[in-house]
Amino acid sequence: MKDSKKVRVLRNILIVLWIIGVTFPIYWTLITSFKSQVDIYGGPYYFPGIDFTPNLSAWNFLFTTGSQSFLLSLKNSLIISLISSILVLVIGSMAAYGLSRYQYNYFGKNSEDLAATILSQRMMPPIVAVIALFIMFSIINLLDSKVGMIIVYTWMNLPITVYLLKDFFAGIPQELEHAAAVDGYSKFDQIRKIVLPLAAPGLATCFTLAFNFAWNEFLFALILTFQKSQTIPVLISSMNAQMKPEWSIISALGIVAIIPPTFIAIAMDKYLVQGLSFGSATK
Amino acid sequence: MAHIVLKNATKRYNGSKIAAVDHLSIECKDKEFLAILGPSGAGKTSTLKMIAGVEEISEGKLYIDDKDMTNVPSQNRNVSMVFESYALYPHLTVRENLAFPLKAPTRIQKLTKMEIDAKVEEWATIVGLNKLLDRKPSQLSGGQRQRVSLARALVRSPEPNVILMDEPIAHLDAKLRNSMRAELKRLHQDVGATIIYVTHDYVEAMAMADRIVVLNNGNMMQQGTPKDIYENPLNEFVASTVGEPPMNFLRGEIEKNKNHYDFIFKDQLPLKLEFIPEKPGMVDLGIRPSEIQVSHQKPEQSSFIGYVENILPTGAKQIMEVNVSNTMVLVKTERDYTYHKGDMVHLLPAFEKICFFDPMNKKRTSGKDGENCNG
Repeated sequence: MKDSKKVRVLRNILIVLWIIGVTFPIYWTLITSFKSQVDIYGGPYYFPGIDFTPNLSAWNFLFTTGSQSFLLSLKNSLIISLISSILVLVIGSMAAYGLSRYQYNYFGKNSEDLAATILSQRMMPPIVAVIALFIMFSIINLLDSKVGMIIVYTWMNLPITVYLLKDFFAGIPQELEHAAAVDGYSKFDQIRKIVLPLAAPGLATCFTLAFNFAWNEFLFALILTFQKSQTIPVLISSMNAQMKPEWSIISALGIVAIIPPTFIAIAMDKYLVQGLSFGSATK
Repeated sequence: MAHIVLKNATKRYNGSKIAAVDHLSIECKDKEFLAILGPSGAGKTSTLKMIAGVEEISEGKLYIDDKDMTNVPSQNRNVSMVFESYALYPHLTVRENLAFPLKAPTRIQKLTKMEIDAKVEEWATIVGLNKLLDRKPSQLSGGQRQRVSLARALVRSPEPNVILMDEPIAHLDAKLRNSMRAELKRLHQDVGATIIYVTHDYVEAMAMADRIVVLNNGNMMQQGTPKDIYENPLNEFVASTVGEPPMNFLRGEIEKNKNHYDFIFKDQLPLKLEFIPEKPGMVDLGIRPSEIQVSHQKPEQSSFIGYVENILPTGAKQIMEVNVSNTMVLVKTERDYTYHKGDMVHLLPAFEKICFFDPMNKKRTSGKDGENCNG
C-alpha cells in the first residue's frame, strides 16, 4: 500500500522539523564556541562568516592557557567513566545472572526481594547520600581521587544495570546452557560462550547507559572532587562561576564533551541493532 | 557407548514434598534403545535431565559403566542430549553449532581444525544439512533444526556414553515425523548407539525401542519389550496408554454359573466366558477396540447389545462409539458403510484378548503370563 503524496510530504516536513529541533542546540553550541564575547551578547547571529566573524579564541584558550585543567579533566572523565562502566558491567552481569538463574533465600527473602532491594537504591535521590559519602570519603582519604569517583559511579549505576540485565538473562532459555553443559562446557564457559554473546544487546545498552550517566554526572563530582580528579561537567560549570560567564569556552568544552559518548554509542550500535531474533526454540 | 543404571532416583524441585520422580530404577544396556513412555508430568524429562546432569539427583544413584556418576557435573559425564526445544545456539551458524561439542574444553582427545571440519561435514551429510551449514538456526525450518540438534548430539568424538532424546520429533508435522522415526531407528542400528528416548507417543516407542519403560506420576508402571507392554499390560494405566484408541474398561462382576463363569455388566445379558477366570467378584474387563467383533445379527455366543452413537472414519478403518448400557465402548473395525448412527449392534469381545483388572488397585488379576491376554 502506498501512502498518498500529501501524507509523504507532510511526513517529510515533520521529519525535517524534528531533525532541526534536535540538532539546533548542537549547532548553536558549535557556532557559539567560535564567537567573540561581543557577538554572543550582541544578539542572535546564526551564520558564521555572514552575520559574525568566527574566531578561535576559545579553542586557543583550551589548548594553551587553559590546557592543563582541560586535559586533566578530560582524562579524569574518560578514566572514571570507562572504568566504572566496565566494573558496572562485570559486577552487574554476574549479579543479574545469579538473580535470574538461582533462587536465593536470605532471612526469608527470595531473589525477587533481593532484586527489588537493589533497584530501590536507584529510587533514592543521590543528594540524600552525598553528605554521608563526603564524610565517609574524607575519613578513608578518597576525596578528590579517581578511585573514589569510580566507586561512586559504579555504586550509582549498578542497580539499574542489575535490574535491566536480570530480565535480559531471564529471556535467554536455560536450555541453551543445559545443552552447552551436555556438550562439555563448564558453567563459566557456558556463560562466556553462550549467555554473554546472546546478552550482547543488553550488555551494550547497559554499558552505554552507565557510561553516559557517569560522563554527565555533576552533583557527586562537584562535591567529592576539588582539583586533581575534577571531571568535565565540573570544569564546564566552573567557567560560569568566575567573573563573567565565558560562553564561548563553555561551548567549546561542551562540543568536546559530546565526542566520547558519541564514539561509545557508535561502537555499541552494532550490538544494539542485533536485536533478539532467537532461532533456538521451537516457536 | 555404555551401560546406564539409575538406582532409586528421586527428584524433588525446590524442596517440594511431591516428588517429580519417585524412587525410580531403570537400566539401559549397552547399545540398547530404551524408550520412556508416559503422559505429560509423568517425570520423563526429569529422569532424562538427571541422567544428563542438568538437574541434580535429589536421592539415589546414577552409574555409567559401573562408575558412580551421581555427583559428576554434566560436562564430565560424556552424555549427549537432543532437547525438545532443540536448544540450538542462535548466535552460531549450523557449522559452529555442530562444531561446538567437538571444541569443548573437557574433551580428552583434542581434535585439529581439519578433523573438526571433516566431522562436521560428515554428519551434516548424514542428516542432509550439508547445504545449510552457513545458516543461522533462525533461518531453518523446524525439521531442519531438529536435524541440526540430532547431528549435534551424534557428532561427538569420542562417542558419547549415551544419547538422550527428549521428544525430539514431537513438534514435527506428521509426515516428517514418520520419516524421522524410520531414520532414527536406522541411525541406531548403523551407529550402534545407546539411546534413551523420551516420548508421550506410544507409536514412537513401539516402533523404535528395544525396551519400553512406562512412567506415571514419577513411578514406573511397567517395563518390557514393546510386545510385552502391548500384549501384557500389568495395570489399567499401561493398558490405556498403549494403544489407539485406548482400551475399553467395563466394570462388572464375574459369577460362577454351574460349570462355567459369566461376566455380568449392568443390565446386559450375562456374557458367558469361554475360559476360567482367576477369581469371581468385581472386576474391570479390559478389551482393545480392535478386538471386539461387531455385527447386526446376534452371534451364536452371548454378547452385549449397544447403539451406535457416532462413527469416525479413519480411511481404511473406522472407529465406532457404541453406547452399551450408558457406557461408551469404542470399536475399531474395517470401514463398513452398513452401520449408521442409532443402529442397534451386537458386540462380541475376543475372549483370548480379554484382560481383567482389579477395580480397586487397577492391577491385572488374570493371566499374568499373558495366557488370557495375548493379542
